[in-house]
Amino acid sequence: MTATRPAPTERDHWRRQLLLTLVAVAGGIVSLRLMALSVARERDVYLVIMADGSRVRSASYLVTLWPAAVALAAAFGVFASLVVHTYRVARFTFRSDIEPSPTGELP
Amino acid sequence: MAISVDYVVRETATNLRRNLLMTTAAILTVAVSLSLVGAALLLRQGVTRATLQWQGGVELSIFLNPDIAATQRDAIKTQLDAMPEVRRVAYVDQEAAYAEFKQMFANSPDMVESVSAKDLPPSFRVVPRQPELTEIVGQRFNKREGVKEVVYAEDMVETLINFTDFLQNVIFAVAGVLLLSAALLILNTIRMAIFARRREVAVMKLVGATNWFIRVPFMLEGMVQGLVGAAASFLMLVVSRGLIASALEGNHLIEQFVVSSADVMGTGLFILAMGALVGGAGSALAVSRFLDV
Repeated sequence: MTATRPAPTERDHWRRQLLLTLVAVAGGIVSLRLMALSVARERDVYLVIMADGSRVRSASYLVTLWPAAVALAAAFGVFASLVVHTYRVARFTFRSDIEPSPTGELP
Repeated sequence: MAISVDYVVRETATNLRRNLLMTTAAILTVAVSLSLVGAALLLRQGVTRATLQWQGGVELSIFLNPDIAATQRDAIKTQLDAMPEVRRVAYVDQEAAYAEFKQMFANSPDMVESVSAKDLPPSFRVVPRQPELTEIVGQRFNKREGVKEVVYAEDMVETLINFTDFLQNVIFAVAGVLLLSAALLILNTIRMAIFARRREVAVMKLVGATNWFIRVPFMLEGMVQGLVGAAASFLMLVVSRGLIASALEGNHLIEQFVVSSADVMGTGLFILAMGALVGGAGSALAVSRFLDV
């Protein structure tokens, strides 16, 4: 016997929308702070061009840009969760089992 | 059956009053969702502003061959001085470049030891009058005899700009998807209200009401919900912007991302339009499924 999960109600979708909204706000603030950290680190980097054309940086990209990379990953994670949520809401909205009968009654 | 303004206003007000709980829920959903959409748009404007700040007021460097003739070097200097696009120009010889290098890499003594003055090319540091003139100035010297390479400050932050560009696009995509999910949820809310009155709609149809006669009060109801929600989110954005700006005063790290009041006003107007559109279109779509009687 397999246990089936009840179909999500509109309230469930609303709850998830609120949760994702809060996550998106928090994710946005964290991403902004991380990006600002990378900007500050990149500003402190010196780039020297040598006579033979080679370039020497005082700090590697790995050191300066890892916060920006994390920021991007966080923003992309929020985006992916929102896409899944929107797909579920769309499927819920356009489901066919609530069409009224010609007399306006439920099927 | 003709539609009178009096009927539409009365019906809309009655609908809003009867479904007070659903109306409140819809307004809250619109307010919260549009606030985030607005915040995402403002964040995008903040990132754009910060990127422009990094690009603005920066210089380009014209690196010369170490064995460049003095006459060639002087000719370049004379030409740079005569250009109206150039605000300031400074010559950095190999010794000065090496002194700068030692200062920059003071924490890496091995690096300083392995490099000597002759390893560093002399250069002209040029500050254009406006950031957009940088490339015009650089192009004139790119293939000039004695010039090794022209390096723009923008090239140095290119990777960072690519990162911020990508982040801007992700933020914009998040705002778009969030708006879509909000629109769908509003549509659901209004549809539930109409669903509860489906018999009334069916009776109206049976006694000869046109589709528009039934649809317009519902559409207006949706638009009112969307507009009130959008106005609430507009207010939240204005208040948040003021709070954030005062909280970040003196924090140079994040201060550059703070947006102007004009940006907030522009975003607010966009949000109001989106609220009306989402509410009106959502309710029109919702009611259309119950008009096929």
